[in-house]
Amino acid sequence: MTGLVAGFAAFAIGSAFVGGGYASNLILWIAVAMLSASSMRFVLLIGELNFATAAFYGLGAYSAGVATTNFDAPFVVALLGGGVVAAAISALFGFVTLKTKGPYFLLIGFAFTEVMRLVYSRSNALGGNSGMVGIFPPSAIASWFPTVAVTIAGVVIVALYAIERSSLGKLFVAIRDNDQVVQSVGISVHGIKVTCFVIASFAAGIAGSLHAFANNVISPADFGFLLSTFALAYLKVGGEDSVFGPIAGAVLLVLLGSVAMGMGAGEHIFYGAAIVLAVLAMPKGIVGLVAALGRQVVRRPRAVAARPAR
Amino acid sequence: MQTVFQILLTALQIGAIYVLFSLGLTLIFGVMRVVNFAHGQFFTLAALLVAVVDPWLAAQGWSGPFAYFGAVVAGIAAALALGAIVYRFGFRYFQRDLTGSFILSVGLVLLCEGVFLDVFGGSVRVVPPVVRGDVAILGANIAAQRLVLGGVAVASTVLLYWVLAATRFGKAMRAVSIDHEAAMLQGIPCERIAFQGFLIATTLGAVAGALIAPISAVTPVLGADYLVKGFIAVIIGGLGSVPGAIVGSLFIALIESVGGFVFDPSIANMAIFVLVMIVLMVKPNGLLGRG
Amino acid sequence: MTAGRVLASATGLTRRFGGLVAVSSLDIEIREDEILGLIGPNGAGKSTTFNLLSGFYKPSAGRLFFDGIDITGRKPDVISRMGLVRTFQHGSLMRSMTVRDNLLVGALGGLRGQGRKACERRVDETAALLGLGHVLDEVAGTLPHGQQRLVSIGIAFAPRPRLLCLDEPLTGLNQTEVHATLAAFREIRTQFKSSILLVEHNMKAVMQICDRIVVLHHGQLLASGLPHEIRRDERVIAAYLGTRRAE
Repeated sequence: MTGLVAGFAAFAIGSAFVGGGYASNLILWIAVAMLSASSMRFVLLIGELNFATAAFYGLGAYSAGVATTNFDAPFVVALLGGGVVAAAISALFGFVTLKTKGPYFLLIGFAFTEVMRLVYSRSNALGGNSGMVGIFPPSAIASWFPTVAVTIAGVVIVALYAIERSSLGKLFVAIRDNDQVVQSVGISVHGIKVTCFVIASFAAGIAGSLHAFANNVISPADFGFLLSTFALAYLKVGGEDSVFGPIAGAVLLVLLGSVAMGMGAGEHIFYGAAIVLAVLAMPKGIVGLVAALGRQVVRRPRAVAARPAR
Repeated sequence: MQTVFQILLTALQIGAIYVLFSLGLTLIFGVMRVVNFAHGQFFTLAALLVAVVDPWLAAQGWSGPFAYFGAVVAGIAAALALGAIVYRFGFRYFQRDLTGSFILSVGLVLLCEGVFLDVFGGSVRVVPPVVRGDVAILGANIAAQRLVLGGVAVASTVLLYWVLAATRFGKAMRAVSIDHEAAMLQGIPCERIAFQGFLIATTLGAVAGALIAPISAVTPVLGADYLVKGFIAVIIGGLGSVPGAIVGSLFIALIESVGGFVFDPSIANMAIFVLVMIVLMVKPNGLLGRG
Repeated sequence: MTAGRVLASATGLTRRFGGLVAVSSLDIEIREDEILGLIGPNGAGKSTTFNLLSGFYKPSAGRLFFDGIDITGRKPDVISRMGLVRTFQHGSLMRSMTVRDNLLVGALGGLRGQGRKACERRVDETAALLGLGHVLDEVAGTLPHGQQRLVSIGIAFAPRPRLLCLDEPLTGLNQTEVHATLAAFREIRTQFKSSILLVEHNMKAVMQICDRIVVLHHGQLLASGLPHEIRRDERVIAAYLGTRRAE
């Protein structure tokens, strides 16, 4: 935990020195990416692959957009509002859909993302297909926005990690392992699953709000199935077992992606190849690879008792 | 009355493609317990090849139907090649791993779409219909090509049913699908069955793509919309259930046809999505699924 | 040994699966402070009765009571919160988590709203009771089978249920482990004042530990009484001779 907090502090402080321009912008998008990937990872704790991440990300973005452009709400309100709106709708959605599992839950998430996209594009109040423009962070922090984003993302990810390590987090993992047993000791498995989903959706909503302020314009096309796929890519490449996974994955893919796409490669090919390679060659992601290498290095100097096979 | 019949006819022809699509998806799931989101890429590849090879063959002097037929063969061959590669280097290792195989297939979708865009370019290609003109059935109109498509869909479904029910291979596939460990104990070569099942599914997808080429605007992202609907059809019907895939496909086609007629296509799409959510809430394993 | 008032009971309990009647008009009661054994040849309906009592199956007919309250048709987690917790025959634990975390889940079920400290105390107590103190930080799936069984029992007992229902807890345990487990059962009844409903095939253990025994056959009550009575009951012996003798 201290490592995580220290890492973010260093990242945030470091980002302040990068100055404006391209690098600074990359840092901004890395922050948003790691938050969306962390949100998806959080739902993985209860054993579900959440393709509705994009839907709640989009809800956060549009809420922030509406709050800022239609209601002139202060930045903090708009930002948090994105998270709150996403969380509220996710409570209803999750309550109904978390009765399904696996590929069925995945498809419902996917379907919901598409429905929301269609809703945005048909709704004139939200700008229809052209979307919304003019979503700016307050001028006071505008030049520091990447640092602000890193800090906000860091705070949310640290909070998610704290929950993961708490009793509630243990219940999530227990449900993933054997939900029948958890039910048998009198715990409402459904209620706990919904709680996990709502928390993750709040994080996704915040990521969406940050996106809105970072990009200044949003449109329905930004929040489709592809967005969930990117979050999935960050997660698989980074490694889904560790809290550092989404962070590593986001950093690597956003950086590599900008290089690759600068050289003309398509977005699709890049992310597609990244996912395929990660799944085939490094199932535990980069963090898993590093951890395995670390164990190799440690094993030689010390005699370590062999782990019994499971 | 005539409009009702027209709507039904439209539903049937839309449904024909979804049936071919979803049969492949559900077959793969049944035999390998794999969720292949990239199934649409075989469809797209076949359509793209038909769109490219047909005019080329025609330019070589092959007459209309022969050029088309040659192109179809090329398209299906290419799709099978892609399928074999994707199986051999990918899905073979992810059998019975729902999440892993799905994630792999998502990556493949992106990769293939990107490659197709690069190789074939994003422009729309048109293939002249092989069978021209409209046919009037009971006062309702249908393009002759679509009628052929529907016919092929029905024929394929019947053929598939026969294979599954009457041939040794089909019975082996069903055995593997019901209980693959027991099938292994019986001496059924599960690995080979899985591969062959995968190839059959690929062929179904490719045939659908080849047939739709003359009717549709062919682009590298053609598969996406059909894939989603085909997927929804399979899920509604229940993963792994062949009758379920058919029921689901026709169900969606009907909604699309009615919705498109009464409202407009995007409302119809929304309705489909909402309906799939409702079905899954009431029957979490699909209408006919075993989960 | 005195048995107290009735804790859980079923009257006219019946369960049909299609045309098959698995359990038929069963009257059964479990009293406070007792260890009740539920035995019978294979197919007698023990598992079905177990699932009916714990709410995992709905009865086709008959009623279930816990603490005087009608619980017929209630959901399993509701019944668990009332004080009836059960184990499962296969895989009644979280393999990927440590023993400590496994017990913690059980404790959380019983100590809703109370702090982490109370839960940790409960975990330590439960581990001590079952002799798991030295493996608390091991991953449950890496433990030998016998200890995994103990972990399962620990999870179920951590919420301190009034009635602990154990589904074949002694399967696959060696003599020493059985002995230790039976000692734990005695502790549970005597020190913690919980009752135990035990479905078990190990006749020797059943005769040793149970205060009363109920015998099922073909889904119906065949005999019920004290261990020494059941041991000599001719109907019971006859029912078992098809599979094995009552020891």
